[in-house]
Amino acid sequence: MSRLLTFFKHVDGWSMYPIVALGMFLAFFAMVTLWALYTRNADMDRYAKLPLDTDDQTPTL
Amino acid sequence: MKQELEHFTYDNRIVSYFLKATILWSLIALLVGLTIALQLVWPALNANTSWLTFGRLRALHTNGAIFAFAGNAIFMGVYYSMQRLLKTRMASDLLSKIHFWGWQLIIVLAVITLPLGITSTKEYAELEWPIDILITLVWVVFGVNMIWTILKRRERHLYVAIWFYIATFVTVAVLHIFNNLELPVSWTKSYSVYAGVQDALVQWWYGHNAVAFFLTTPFLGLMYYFLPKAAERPVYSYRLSIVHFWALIFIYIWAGPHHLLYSALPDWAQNLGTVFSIMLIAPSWGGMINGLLTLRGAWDRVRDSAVLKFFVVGVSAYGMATFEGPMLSTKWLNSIAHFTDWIPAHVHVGTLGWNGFMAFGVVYWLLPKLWKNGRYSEKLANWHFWLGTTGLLFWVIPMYVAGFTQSLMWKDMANGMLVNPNFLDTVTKIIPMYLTRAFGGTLYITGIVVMIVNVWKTVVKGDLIADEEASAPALEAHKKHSGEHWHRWIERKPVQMVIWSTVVILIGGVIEIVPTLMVDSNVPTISTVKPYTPLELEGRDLYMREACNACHTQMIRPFDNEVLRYDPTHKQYSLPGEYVYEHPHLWGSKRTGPDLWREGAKGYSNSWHYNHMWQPTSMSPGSIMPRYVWMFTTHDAEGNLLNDGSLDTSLTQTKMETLAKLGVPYTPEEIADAHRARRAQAQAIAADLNSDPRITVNANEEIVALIAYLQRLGTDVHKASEEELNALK
Repeated sequence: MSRLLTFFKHVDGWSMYPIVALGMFLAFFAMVTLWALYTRNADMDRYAKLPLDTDDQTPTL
Repeated sequence: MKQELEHFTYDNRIVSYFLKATILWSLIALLVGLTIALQLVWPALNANTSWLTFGRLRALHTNGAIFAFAGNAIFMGVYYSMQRLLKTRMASDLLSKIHFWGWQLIIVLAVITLPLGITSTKEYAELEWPIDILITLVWVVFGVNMIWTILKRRERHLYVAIWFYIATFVTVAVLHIFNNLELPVSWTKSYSVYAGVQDALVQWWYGHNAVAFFLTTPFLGLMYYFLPKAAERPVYSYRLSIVHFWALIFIYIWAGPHHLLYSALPDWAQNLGTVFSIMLIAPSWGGMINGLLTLRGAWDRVRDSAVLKFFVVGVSAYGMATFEGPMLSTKWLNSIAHFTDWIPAHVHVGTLGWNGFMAFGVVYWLLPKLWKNGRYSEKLANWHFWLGTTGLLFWVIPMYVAGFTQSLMWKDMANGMLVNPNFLDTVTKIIPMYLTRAFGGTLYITGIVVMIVNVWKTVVKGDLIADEEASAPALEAHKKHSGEHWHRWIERKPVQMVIWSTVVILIGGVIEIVPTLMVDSNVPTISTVKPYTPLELEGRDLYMREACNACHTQMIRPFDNEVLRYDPTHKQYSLPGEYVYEHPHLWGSKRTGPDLWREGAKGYSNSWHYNHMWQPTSMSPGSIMPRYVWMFTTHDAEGNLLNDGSLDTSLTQTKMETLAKLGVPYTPEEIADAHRARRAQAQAIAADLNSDPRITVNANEEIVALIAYLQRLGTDVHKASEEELNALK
């Protein structure tokens, strides 16, 4: 822990953090978007209907 | 092969508990809000009573609206929707009940302690440490019950609403614990472990994300469940909801520093907050559009359905608030709006519009589902909708006007001089707007009363379906197979999803906060800034008890008009190093009254402060500040004691010892000498006050300690040399 604290206390250039953070977000955003786009339509349709099929007490098999 | 159906029941009783609590606390929280709104027009409405005064009740109103009203509404919707989305009863009825009654106990403790002045003063986290621990325990009970229920579900896929509930649970837990790290002085008093700039950053990391993960993500979960139910069609795009979820929880956590633009926070942290706040528009509007487009082909039904009306206005208010928020995060707009009434207007579009209307929509949708044969009235629900909508408009529009008026008057300069040098002129100008706002609040509350009548008719005349029968096949074991989509891990391992959600929200928090906590150069110290004397420390605690920071800031921003107004002699804006001993910071977020950070350097006499606290209008005619008569020892004409305003000094040394543990450089000798030093300073101030023939005061009265604190404020920096200050700038 003390090594970590020493590391933080001696690191310069924190002002670069917004840029680093932006890069991290864009990579993450791209990953999630690709995931959503490449999921099968049939699966998506079934998931979307989950709130609607619970009142009639019929199971979704 | 046909799977065998399992028969079970949904627990509607717990939903009914939370529903009743929602409407009860909505009325109480908003009546408290109306009371303090009226006090800004007629300050005498506090009846010179400490526990009825604006500062103390304001925290009760905000905590009541967020945690009592919105909190119970969240749990109402979560307990109903989660059971049905997972096709199982809640894992433990006992944990559900402990959660419900524990949460109500917390609210009752808030109702008792906040008016008594027992507060940590950190906005939206004012409750003192024993209650903080209770909140943690109850929150864990909620989380355990939720995750346990997920693990025993009969539906493989976790619908996106459940993701929002999970993110809410983990993030609120993290925020609550880190923001409320404090060292106790007694059962009712503690000091934040953070000081000054660090405390402000942690506070607004929490404060902003309390909005994000208590007032946004759970309500989005409710939107994704109840809006399709009410519209009787699936959400417009499930793909969009997935992107919406991950993008929202990733970005939100970074945006906190936008509450601290132009403050003493390091520039890089301010810029980080701005960038991520602007990016936040994308997922926020993605969610709003997804909600509204769910009504495609069903808009005609909005005309007839009060539930859909509430949802449409609620989601639209979410869209407005989440466009306005990022815009307010730009430095240009922030310089206009910050500290003005624009911010309460922005906040109330969110709370009254988004949270309130979504909660009411869910209540009305649930009523006929939970109680059969009741006398639910669609007509009354529609009346509520129109009263609420009109009330919302009457609330926010005058406050936008008031915000602009304040900002323009504060900033108005001619020939290098302030056009409105007397702050009070900027207050009296907006009183009519405050009155109109109170009228809007009255309409909104009238709508709630109409709802209570409707609920009463439904509940009393109806029969609660406490255990609703249901059936579903058992969940088959799901094993990983080659070629399956990698997102299947979410469905197979919900606990992993909890962990990954935590990791995602922690990334922002760690990057944002750790550098400011760890890097010495982020807060350059000033050699002349010293800890408060024992008497000033007690005075500061009185300032906190009365929540003076609810109306007065302690942060002079680097604008010409601010340094001219608040530090006319030295024209020095606030520097980070001035706050290194401020546990917690008292920067505030709203200027109903003027900034006080250089109050001690303005040259007001002790007697001016004495008279001002006894009767503000005697020094500032037209002032809307309440009287603080309970800080004075008073007698009637016969000499009988009316009020004992003696300062409680039993904890002075313990307070200094606690602060010393947190790094405030009180020496053992200073702590041992605390009472003598306190008495000496108090007697000097009392002697000065008593030299005024109209004043008779004892050195042990609270008002003396408060004056000592006010006279110290902001004076240390002026003792620093020009060279040192120039180096800091």
